[in-house]
Amino acid sequence: MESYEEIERVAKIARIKLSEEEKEKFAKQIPSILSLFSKVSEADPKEEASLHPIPISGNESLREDEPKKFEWNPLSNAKEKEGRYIKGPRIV
Amino acid sequence: MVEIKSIVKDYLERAKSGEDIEEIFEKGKEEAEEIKERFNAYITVSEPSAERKGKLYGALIAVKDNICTKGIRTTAGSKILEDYVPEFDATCVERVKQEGGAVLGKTAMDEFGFGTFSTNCAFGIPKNPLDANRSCGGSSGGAACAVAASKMPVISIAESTGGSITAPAAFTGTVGLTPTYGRVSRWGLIDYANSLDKIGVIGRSTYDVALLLSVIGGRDPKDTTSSTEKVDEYERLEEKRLKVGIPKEYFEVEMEKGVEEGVWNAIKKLEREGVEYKEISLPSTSLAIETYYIISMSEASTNLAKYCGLRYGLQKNIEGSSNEYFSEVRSLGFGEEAKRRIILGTYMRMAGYRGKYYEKALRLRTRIINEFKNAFENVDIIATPSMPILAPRFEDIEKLAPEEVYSMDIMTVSPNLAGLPTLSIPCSKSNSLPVGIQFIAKHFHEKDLLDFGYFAEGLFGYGG
Repeated sequence: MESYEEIERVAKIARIKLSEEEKEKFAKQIPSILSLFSKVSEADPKEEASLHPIPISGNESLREDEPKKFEWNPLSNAKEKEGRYIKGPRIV
Repeated sequence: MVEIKSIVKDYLERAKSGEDIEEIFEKGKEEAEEIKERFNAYITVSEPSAERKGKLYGALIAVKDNICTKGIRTTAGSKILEDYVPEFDATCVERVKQEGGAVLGKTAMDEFGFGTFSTNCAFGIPKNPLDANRSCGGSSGGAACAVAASKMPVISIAESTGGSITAPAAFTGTVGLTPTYGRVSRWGLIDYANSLDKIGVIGRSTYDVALLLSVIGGRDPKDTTSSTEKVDEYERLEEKRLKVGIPKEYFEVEMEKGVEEGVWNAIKKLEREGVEYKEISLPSTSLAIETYYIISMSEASTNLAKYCGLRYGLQKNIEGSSNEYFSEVRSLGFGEEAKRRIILGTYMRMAGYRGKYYEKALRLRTRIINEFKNAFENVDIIATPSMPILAPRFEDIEKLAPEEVYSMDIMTVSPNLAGLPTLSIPCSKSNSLPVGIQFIAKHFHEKDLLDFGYFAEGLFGYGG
């Protein structure tokens, strides 16, 4: 991500709108940070990848298939609501 | 040897023998408001109360603001959650309440945990009570400040991803315990990086942190990464002299003279009291910062995708397409560091770049875990400085480039990547500023860690 345009493209994918000032700032900082991070590639490690620091256990059996009701309202913080629905922007 | 008196223990006994709990709550709240005003330790001060008696009856618990508290605003230090009020308590908060602990307030932090100095907090930067021109450390800066500035029985629930408990403990002269990954349920924690986040404790003594860990630790079916390992009565502390390893790479790092001297003096003190130490090697220390930041930024960029102006958090008048609306809200709500990390994390996970960054970092993580495993064949505790510097001035922090800030985490990122439990205790002073020493133990050996820390704390004489 060396250029201003590449940063703009990745920001769009991440749904972040950057100001001109932010784009210029990041265009200077990000290549420098990535250059530091590239050291991991130069090391070329052959170990297996670890997704967790320790093996995850205790989930060998599944819980009973009993429907449970939420004890609290997951839409309590939504501002734009109509009945049981939350209102959102158009998809297209 | 010095006996470190715990104010918390004192208040627990007073509450048990019938002292007016409401008076403790009133004084605690009054002091918390003052600490909020003077030092920005709190984002929200709440109304402390206890519905039942238990192990924590008489104690006041400050909670880092990325941990959900029912009916109390929870922001994760971010504008994008400025008015979010959870309708549930995180498991660790539920357990505190079950044991009679009273929630005092929500503490200031770097937004979502992104930072080492709490300077990325959208609601005021916490100031070090020892010197208000200096940082409390981060990202649990407010949690450490709330404890360090208080004369009441306050213990903080904090959180660490790459060192966010150790840094503020070191800079404020408090005790910071980062438990083993999975020791404390993460249910109700606002995620930064799921394979790295650990809920922990900051207090004024090893007794305080041990007590709170014994309450919040333990398996939770709502968090499938939480461990089934038994929770000890950690607060039954006994002095233990264990074999210590000193990793040479940690002392080859550039650090402030006061830190290096302070930590070596502490090690020598331990040696004079019969603690054996030897030099060990952790060669992948030189790649730890890069490994940590690649993994944590990648995970963070997916976790923060949920903040899009629907269901909770910052919401605007709905205009434009979904992409336009989401981008608008996210750009308004996230601070600069959050945006930088989301962009970097997104890039490093993308097809074509994933192999160069993310996958390599995951392999290096395995290497780091194995190096610790090998080291622990010959020693029980690994000792290092907690931070390479003393608490820095805000004006000096502003001059740092992002990668210079990231490099400050060199002492803490490796044990955090490996999910190992760590304890930071104040061991010395340099120019009136505290120096922290970090002890690292094997997975789920919190009992050994705390017992050794208790012994060391009495030797060094700071805290209480």
